[in-house]
Amino acid sequence: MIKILLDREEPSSEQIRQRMDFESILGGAKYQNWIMNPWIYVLGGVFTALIWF
Amino acid sequence: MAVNMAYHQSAFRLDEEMKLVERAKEDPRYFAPLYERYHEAIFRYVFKRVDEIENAYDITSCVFIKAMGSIQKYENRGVPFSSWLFRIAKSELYQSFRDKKARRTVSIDSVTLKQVMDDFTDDSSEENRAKLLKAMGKLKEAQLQLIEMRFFEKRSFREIGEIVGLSENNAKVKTFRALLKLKDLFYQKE
Repeated sequence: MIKILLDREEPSSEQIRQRMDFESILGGAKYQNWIMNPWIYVLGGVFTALIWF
Repeated sequence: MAVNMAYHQSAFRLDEEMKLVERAKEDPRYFAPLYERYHEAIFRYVFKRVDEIENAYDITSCVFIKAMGSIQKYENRGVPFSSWLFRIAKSELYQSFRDKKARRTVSIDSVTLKQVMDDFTDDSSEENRAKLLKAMGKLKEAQLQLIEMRFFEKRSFREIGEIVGLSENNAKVKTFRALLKLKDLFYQKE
């Protein structure tokens, strides 16, 4: 069900800027790249195997 | 109809933007000028379509994280970089609707609503306004999107086409059909 809102108040440019700083987005993107890197899982597996055996 | 200047850029500005994209491909820190240029437009696009402001902030953050992660795949096809961002925003929005994290919302200002209604009837009474809103709620998602972008966000057909993946002419035809459908629903007896 669609919700229709009439004359909704939008945040100002300044409020948006304060809330959405580039550094936090960059941090999120770097973390995303890091967890998507298959090598960390390969190295993690090797490391676990070394400890296990 | 007002023209969206952020979309209709000169060849020089498009060229300059491509240079920024190429730099951002080398180092994500250089994405900053593109982020500064477009984050507000993307936020407002998302905000108009979700009910909670917090969801709008979250979805907009996801859009830019995704854009930065896949910028290597971005190819210059002679259209503004913003079209690519809007496409990501559209897909993130629909993902959040599917996951039920956000509710599909249409934000309308009453002045524009009256302008759309003037096309249908001379009587802009409260009753007809409610009827039009009800008719909008009955449109298919694809039709609602076209009406929303053309009449409430004042986007050009070229820009709409780029966002929804249609040619400019096709966007024009489909928007016209969506408007006819809205008119049908408006006059339909309950």
